[in-house]
Amino acid sequence: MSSDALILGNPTDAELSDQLLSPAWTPKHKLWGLAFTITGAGACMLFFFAGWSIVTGIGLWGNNVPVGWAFDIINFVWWIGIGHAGTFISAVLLLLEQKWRTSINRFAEAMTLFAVMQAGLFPLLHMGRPWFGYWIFPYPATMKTWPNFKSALPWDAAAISTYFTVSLLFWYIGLIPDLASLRDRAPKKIQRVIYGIFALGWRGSADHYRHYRLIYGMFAGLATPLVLSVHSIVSCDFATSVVPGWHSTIFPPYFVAGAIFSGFAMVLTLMIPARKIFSMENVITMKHVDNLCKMILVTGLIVTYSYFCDFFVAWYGGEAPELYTMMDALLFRKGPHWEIFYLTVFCNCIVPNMFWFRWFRQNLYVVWGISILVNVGMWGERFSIIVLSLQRDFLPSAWATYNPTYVDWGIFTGTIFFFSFLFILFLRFVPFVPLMEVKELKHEMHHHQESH
Amino acid sequence: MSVEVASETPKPFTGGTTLLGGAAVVGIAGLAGLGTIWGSDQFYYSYLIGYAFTLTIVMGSLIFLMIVHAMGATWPTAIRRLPEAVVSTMPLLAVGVVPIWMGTNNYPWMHLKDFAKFQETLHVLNHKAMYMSENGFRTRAVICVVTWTLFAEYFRRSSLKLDSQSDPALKHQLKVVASVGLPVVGLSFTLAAFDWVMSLSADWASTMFGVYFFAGGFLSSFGLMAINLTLCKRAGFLQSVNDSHVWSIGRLMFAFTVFWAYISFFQFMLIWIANKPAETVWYLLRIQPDYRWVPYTLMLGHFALPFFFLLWYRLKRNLKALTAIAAWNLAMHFIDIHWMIGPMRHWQDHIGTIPKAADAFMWTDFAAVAAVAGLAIAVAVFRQRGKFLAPIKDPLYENALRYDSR
Repeated sequence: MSSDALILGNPTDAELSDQLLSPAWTPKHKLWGLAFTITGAGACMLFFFAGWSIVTGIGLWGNNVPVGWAFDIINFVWWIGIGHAGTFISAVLLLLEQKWRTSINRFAEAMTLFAVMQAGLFPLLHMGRPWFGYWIFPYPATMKTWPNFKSALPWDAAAISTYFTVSLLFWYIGLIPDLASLRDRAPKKIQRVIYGIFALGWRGSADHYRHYRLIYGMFAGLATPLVLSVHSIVSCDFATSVVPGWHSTIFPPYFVAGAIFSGFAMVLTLMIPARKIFSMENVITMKHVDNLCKMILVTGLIVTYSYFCDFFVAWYGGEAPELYTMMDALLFRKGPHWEIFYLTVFCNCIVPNMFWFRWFRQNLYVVWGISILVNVGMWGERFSIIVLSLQRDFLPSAWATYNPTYVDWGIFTGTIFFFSFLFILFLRFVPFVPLMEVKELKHEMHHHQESH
Repeated sequence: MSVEVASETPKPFTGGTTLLGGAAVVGIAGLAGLGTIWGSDQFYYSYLIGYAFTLTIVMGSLIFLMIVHAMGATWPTAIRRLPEAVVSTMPLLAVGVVPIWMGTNNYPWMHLKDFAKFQETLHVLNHKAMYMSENGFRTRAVICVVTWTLFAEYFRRSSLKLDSQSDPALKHQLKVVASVGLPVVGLSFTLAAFDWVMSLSADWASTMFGVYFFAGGFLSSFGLMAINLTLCKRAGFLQSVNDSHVWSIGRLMFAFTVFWAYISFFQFMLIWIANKPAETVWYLLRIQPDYRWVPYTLMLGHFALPFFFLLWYRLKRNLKALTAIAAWNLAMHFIDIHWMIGPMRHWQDHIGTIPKAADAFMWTDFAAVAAVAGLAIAVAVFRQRGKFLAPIKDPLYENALRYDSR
């Protein structure tokens, strides 16, 4: 079989149903149990450190003056960015008629939801008094405490809550036919009842499919501008200010490209082990891996282009504070933590270029390694933008160095565990490869072959 | 799903004499008009407007072609000869860079003395003098146009080879060259935008500018594709290009209408909200009374109107309607390019002051567009004569004709 196929072999519909639904009721894999325990414990650590921060205050963190924003916003941007691949794969690639999205879209969408959940924690915790979180929304307050609409933060709150809502609905609507299959094939009554409730009475009639297609297409249309708007708004948190290293007009498209870049990397990080553990190699093929690698290469090049524009124009513009922050503190290694900047350039601009070569795209160990490095690089990018800029702004007398505390690290790693915890639950409770769409693709491809 | 492919015996392109003759006459008339002001400042700015207008569209077509080859996309194979005809004007535009090469005198970085009283600006100009120098500018201009011409000729000529025989090896080569070439072309085009247009301002800089300069041209290249398709169909060619292809062009026009608005909006909004004097001056100059109607026209005409029309599914499948929007789009692109360049005409007069109203549209601006675009059309038609209007032996061609999407 060529490595270009999107489905290997020629499974029947029944075989596909058995295979793709099986993770929901076959006995637990040992590895899954182990992962469940570890990530569950890690999630508890997150709740411990987050609770402690709420009770004591965020003085537990390394934030200082002038670095008032650090891990909280770095992790927020990083997680939101990771979420972007899900929407990109499910909405943009659907509109672009890219068939290879079919086996991986549900997987990526779930990743989006869980990533946005992690992201949402950080602004809340950073408030210090999360119970006042609703102040960010323009509710009819009797004290007339309106949010400042010229600040990018209320835009953020609106963009992200919209994004989460649309992503959730999009994901759920896509799931409905498969939930019905689960209902029909589940061995236990309790499973049949629960899946039955969520399947909303789907029976697969032509009418159901017609409505389903219509609404799915509509959500794709709604989700597409959200892919662009959310990270553009996130970039405005920085670009609307005058802080050197932050105020750059290319930030919106640059952040969007970076977000998709890191999101695709995370899809690969999760997908490569999952397809192995659950034996899904026939529906998530090397062709999928190959295409994801190419997307990483393209978005990586756009990110590199943005770095180039940012640094070139900082030099060309010739403003002293901008020159110091971008050139001296970062490029010429005079600021603290410059290593992170060089790590970023290595991971984001150099490493992805390995994907020019087919051999690297076909070697799963290499691909997996690179996907991790890209995510490290994208975390480093946010660290460079946020911390390295704030450490060295206008007045040398105001400069300081930022160092994270173990609470910062505990919360950050905790979100990685919590994310993984939610993700492995998802792997077991719903089919992570969309059954209905894979069957449809199989029939389309079969038909296509016959018509020649 | 399979669509009925209109039966058509491919024949080489003949005719177009009227278009060729008309375009050549318009072009020469434009040149003659420009000739009357040869050597003046006004000549340079008008010429730059005409050149940038044409170049951005040609570069948009080149980048589209390269993306198509890099992705191995199927459906565009059916209409690929149209952008290839557009990029066949690249050698002409390479020659057309000469007035820009000679026009360095019109840039503020050549006149440091004028800024003697304005230490901050002078400081910036001195700071970048090693890059923004006459020699650097000229060298980069030559490198850029040579690079683009080589790529344009390569893609057109290789594609013409696919008219006579199917050659999978050549297809693969096209893919590799396109993938490797895209970063090169993208970067050189950005640097050209910085040099030729952005550096008209003494100390203004925007990291987005390269993308902004590209966005309008890329959009217009799809509009031009729709117009060319109409012309070919009327002349009896490309009958097998179907509604789905038209829809794809329409969707691209829609997507990049939004893209242009996105890029322009964020560039403006970020500069407005940060309110740094060195940055806002660019927009301040461009909302002076003579020019104030332009940004509103762009908001409405470059974005809102086409956006709402192009939302309409059936309109995007209707070539006639699409062609009308495309023609409108080209006019908007001209205004957009003019807005970037035109207001800089009298920069010497308002050094260190609040910018004064510049002379808005001058007849020579239109003459310049007529000259460059007219001659380019004549060259494109001339070079297309005797060639097929589709790469009929391309391995993807048959499938491209069968493209069905609704």
